Amino acid sequence: MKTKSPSSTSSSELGSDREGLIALPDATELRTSRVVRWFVLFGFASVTAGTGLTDTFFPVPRPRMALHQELDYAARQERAHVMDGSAARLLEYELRLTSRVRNTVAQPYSTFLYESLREPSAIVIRGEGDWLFMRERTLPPQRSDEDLAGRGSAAVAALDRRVHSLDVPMIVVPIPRKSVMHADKLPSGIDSRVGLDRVILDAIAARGVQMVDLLRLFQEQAKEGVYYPCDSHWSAASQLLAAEEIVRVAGRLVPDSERRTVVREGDAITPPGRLDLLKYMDVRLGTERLRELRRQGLHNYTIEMRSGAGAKFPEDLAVSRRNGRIAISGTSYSDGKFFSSFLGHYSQSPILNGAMSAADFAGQVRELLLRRAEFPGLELVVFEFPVHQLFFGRDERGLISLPDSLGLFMAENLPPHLESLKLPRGMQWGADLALHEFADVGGTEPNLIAGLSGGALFHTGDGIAAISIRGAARGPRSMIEVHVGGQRMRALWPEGADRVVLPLIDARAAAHSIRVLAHGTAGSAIRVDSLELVVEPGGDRTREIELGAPTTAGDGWTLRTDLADALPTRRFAALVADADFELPSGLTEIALQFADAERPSLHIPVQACDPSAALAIHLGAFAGLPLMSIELRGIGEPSPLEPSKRVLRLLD
Amino acid sequence: MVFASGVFLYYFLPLFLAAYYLTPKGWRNFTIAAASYVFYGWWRPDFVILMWVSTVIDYACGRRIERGRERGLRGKRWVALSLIVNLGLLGYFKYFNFGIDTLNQILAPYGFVPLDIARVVLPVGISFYTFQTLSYTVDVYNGAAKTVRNFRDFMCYVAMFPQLVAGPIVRYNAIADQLHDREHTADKFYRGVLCFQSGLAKKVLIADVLGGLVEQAFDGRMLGVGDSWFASLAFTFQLYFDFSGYSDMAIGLGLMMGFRLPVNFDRPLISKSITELWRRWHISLSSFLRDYLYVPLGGNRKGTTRTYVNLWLTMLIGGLWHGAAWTYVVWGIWHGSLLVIERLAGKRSLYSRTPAFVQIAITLCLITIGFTCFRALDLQHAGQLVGSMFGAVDSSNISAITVRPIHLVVMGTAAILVYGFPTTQSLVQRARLAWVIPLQLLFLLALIHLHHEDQVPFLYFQF
Repeated sequence: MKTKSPSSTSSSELGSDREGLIALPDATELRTSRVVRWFVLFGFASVTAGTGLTDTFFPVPRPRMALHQELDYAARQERAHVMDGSAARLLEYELRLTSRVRNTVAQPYSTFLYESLREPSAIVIRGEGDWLFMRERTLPPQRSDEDLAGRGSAAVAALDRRVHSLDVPMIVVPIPRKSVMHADKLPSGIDSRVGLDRVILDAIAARGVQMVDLLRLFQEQAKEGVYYPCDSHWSAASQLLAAEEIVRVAGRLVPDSERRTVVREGDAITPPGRLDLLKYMDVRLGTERLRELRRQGLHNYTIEMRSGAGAKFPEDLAVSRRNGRIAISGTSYSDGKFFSSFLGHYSQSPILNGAMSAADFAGQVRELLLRRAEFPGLELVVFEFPVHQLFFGRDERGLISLPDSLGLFMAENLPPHLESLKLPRGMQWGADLALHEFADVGGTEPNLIAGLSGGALFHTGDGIAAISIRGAARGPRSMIEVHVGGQRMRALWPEGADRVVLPLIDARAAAHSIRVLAHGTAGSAIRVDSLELVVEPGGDRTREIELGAPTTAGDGWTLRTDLADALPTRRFAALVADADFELPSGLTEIALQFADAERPSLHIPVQACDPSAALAIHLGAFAGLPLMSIELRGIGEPSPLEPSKRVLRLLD
Repeated sequence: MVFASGVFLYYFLPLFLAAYYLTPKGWRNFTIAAASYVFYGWWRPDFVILMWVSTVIDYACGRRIERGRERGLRGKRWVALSLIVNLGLLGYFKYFNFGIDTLNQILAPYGFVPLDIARVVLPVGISFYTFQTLSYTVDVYNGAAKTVRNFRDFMCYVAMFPQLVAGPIVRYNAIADQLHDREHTADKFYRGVLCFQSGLAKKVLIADVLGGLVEQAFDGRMLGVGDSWFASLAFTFQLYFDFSGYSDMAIGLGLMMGFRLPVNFDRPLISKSITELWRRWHISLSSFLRDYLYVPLGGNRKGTTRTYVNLWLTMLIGGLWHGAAWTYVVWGIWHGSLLVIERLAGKRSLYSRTPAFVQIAITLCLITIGFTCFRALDLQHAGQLVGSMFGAVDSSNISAITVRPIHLVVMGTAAILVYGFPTTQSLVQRARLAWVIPLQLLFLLALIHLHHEDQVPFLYFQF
């Protein structure tokens, strides 16, 4: 039998008339009954108009948001404008958020997709077996490891400095990503950049932050899975391991023989609450399937009294105590309840559990310090944050945005020690605001307060240099923004405050330009009385170091001093030179040598810096070591300089 | 606004249809125009002004040409004005950035400081509506169409939201009669609903699902031979189902308003040659290019060599119409060259004697290679991908793509639909129960899927 080629077509198959328009048959050729026709029309009208009416008149409440989400949402509302379409997009977003129909159909459909096609929602990556990974935590932004590590570590260092300056001892616990610890479970084609977490942790350590290296700990010592397969938290075994390490690094480890409590190993069954990624995907599984997922071979651990079953657990070690001496503050990767009991076990100290799921980067530390008076016994803050929170995104202007919680924290907590920094040239005032007068800053466009062109201030980017603004703000929401190195930090001016000090955070040591701006919601106003660049040292000690006269070195010059006696330094020590300090010509390198012979000297390359630029150099991981020598190198001919022009200040 | 969004499906469309059928017949075109401005200006109201400029100028030019003709004049300057304004707007908004970037690339090796000029934002659908308004003036000038009766009708013609942003390109004389006299029947509306449902299902359940795979594969990574073919084929299917789905929705919406719009796709992926492909793929564009570019260039009337040059040039410009990037130019050149080769080979070539399925397979491979360039990030990436399709790849740098079960299911379904089913329009014509009932379920599934997934814009918006 001769068959018709699949490619042969006729005009009827095309479905058009001679003019190319869709052809419709005569009414006499109708092949569907009236009933079907009206069924289709009624169904179409019902699902389209019906959904619109249902969602309009019976919306569901807007889901709860974390602090950073609330801020983003508020910012989106403020910026919403008809002409650029942002108002329309916001309306669509709000309709989606409060859609009752969506709320009703999404969950069964997600479950169907997941169970029948093993298809997770877009926010999750499904790996080998039942392993699930949050997509945004797995795939870092398309920027180099060095850039991500530089910006992230600088932000952590700035926070660390400010918290310590408030006399709150803090230990930083960066949490390695699940997709790094279990990269072998990722599907092929998904590159989580497994080396990135190591680079970030090393960068944080290099900035002198006291840190617990859980990445190394887990890689070397984890005996079973570090994370639960269907969850974003550590397994109980990893929590136990991490708790011991944190307490050990903090110097508070109580020997086993002196502890009143012991660890008991439980079943190898995942707790029912530890399947949060299924919840995020809106997937609800049957009992049998859940039971299967929970049998993943990860043990449970509990803390019990050493004296045996039935013995009363000591009141002072019960979790989440207001009289806690060690506070966990962060994002609860460790799963608060168990982790705090493990910390309590190893330190035999009461624990204040201030961790919160999905919290913003510095949100919980901010919350803790705002309410510090409620916790008089607080001795140590364990600041835990997942590494992916350092993957700062870009705003609509293309600027990399530091977490708002960081800016808010900085504005609310003034550092007790500040040193003025004299610059070779003053900051240029913007035309948008006048000094000593309240100016309306409400609106979508930020108002320029002042700017400093590049080359005038070289700083290490970790918050050692800061902008101090005196003035006042009034109205519902007055924000200050600082832009440095293509990055933005913004902060709400606290009500009643006459000053805000925002650190300059940059990816690397550089002399980038600085811009300070103000904006806010309708009715917001800001008055600026003065603005200056300051140094934010760890303490109030100042020592002067005179460098030797310039000498020729290679094809350039060098200014050097070898200290007769090693100069002891404290944590957060910084070397500062302001405009009175002079250099023969362009600076190319700063080299510092410390008393610890086993450690190499610190070399800081310098680029695009004016000869008369102010310098603010934090000693990073070397701060705290005795300083032996300082050398500044540059290009060009050496020229004589007065001794008074060659004096650096060591602040700590 | 996009069709596959809650705001369109649940608010705009029901409100519009209610308003449309409540409006007296004489004002229905005005209702369409007003709703279209809301639809078009939803994300950027200022771009409506641009469309208005185009509308007013072409309306005025058409009237002037007609009045001139009454006095025995041809109205050349008015058609020239229309050409200058429309092509000027298109050129500025679509090709300005491309021109500056290219100039900077050319001048950079000679030490010139790159020109730093503010980027021009491309108004959505400008390529479609400028071609439409242009076709009106040119047709009036050539005597192929009568001038529009009133401005209301012309606004409706230019702005009609179903086909405004992604086609099909509707030539004025194709719907001139319908603008002032069209039939509204329950049957027409019913078939419009079926067509719209079918288009939405194609877009949401096939194109968008494949979109995730394609996005991953075309992110700049190096692919192995198998992956690069699979990803490129997935993109070919994605583009086809996305674009033909949009056309189906446009045609369906047109029917709901009583319009019969042009059919834009005729199972292009079963073509046995590139020549046949261009009779089946984006028919409204290919016929537009044929009538307004290829034929005016001389078509096949000026000798063999000139025919080849005209063909090649038409496809090159067709490529550039799709987007301001060298990848589109290369795609146009690829198709132009294949058309020339096919003409050179003639109808009795060895190729034409091979079995039909072999010809279909070879043509699909050629189409897929072309679309690989079309989708690539830049020329280097295109070269890399096409190279990897033929094994020219550094195996140490290969990064696999994640193919999930859903991708395989959708690819399989797409293949069955492409090779085993007739066009949506012919299914709509027949409207058999065995198709209508499953379609209702697929439509519901598409709506649920839309609720589940984030919105993915139509690919053809960017063109």
